[in-house]
Amino acid sequence: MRRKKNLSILKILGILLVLIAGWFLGWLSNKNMWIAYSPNMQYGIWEIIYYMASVFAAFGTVGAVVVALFKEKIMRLFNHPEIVLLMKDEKYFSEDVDSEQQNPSSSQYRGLLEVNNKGNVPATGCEVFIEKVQYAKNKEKKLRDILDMESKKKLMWDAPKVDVPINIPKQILLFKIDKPNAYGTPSASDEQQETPCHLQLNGIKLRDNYSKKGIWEITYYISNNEIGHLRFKLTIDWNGEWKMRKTEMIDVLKVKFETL
Amino acid sequence: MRTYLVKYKPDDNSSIINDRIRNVGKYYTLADCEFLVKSEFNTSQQLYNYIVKEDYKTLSIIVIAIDARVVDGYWGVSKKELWDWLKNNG
Repeated sequence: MRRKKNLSILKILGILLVLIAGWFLGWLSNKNMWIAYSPNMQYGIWEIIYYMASVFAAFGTVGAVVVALFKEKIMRLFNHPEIVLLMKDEKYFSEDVDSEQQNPSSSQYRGLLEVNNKGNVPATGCEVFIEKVQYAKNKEKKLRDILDMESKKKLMWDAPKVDVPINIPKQILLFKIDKPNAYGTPSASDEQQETPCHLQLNGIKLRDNYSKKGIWEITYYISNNEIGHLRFKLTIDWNGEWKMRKTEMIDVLKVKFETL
Repeated sequence: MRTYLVKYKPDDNSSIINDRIRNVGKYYTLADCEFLVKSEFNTSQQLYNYIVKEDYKTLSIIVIAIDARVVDGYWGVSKKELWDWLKNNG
């Protein structure tokens, strides 16, 4: 981002330099040479048309050069993808319920991000990365980084690089919480063997002491060639309890989503 | 009351068969078209006749009576609900 900002400043300085040089040359030159029309001079109609056409031709030539040099960038101004991010479901998480059972209950809660393309060309080669994860055991504690984030933490998606067509949203899993002791042998159904549930983030594995309960603030970015980077943040506040249905889970699991 | 495993080949009208199986009694859905059912029918054939009635005689379906009360009669790795269901209804 900082490099991009420096490039923009350099571009503006370059344009200013060219304008100042142009003004300076004009100031040094003979002023009469810039006067195309004088009341003392006589012009025929064809001469006037010729001179006027020359002006348009000059503009046309400059325009053609500009278009030839910056064709790609100009095209991109009009034809580009526009990524719109939103979290699926009310309260930003959904439940996986086996509705076939007589007493349906959730087997998993998950946060899904919907990546939509509202632009006029497909967004090709999209990837999502975790930039930073901060954690606090509770609201009284200060959030602090829990991972060495020097390396990029890429999220698992449908493919290593995903194309998002126009107006056909793609979903990506950001986090999930599986039911405690969801799978096991018949003997594992005993209460003594029950294991607590964990927050699982797509892209990185949280250590046990950072995954059972607390507040997590995860900064992500989605990137591709056309859009560059688009940052968003997920805040998860969970007391570690498991509830059978989402209607109860929303009391103990709070999810906040914002684009940066 | 006996417990049965019912499994049938998916059909365009699977929802009708599913509804009939669910109406039999307490059930647990193992997978699509696979159920454990607790029923008052004494034989597998009686349960079969109840499910297929007259209109699904050509349906590919099996009904097996199981006895989950047998010591070590079932084992595997699956959802906890299944083991609980078997413990309570087997």
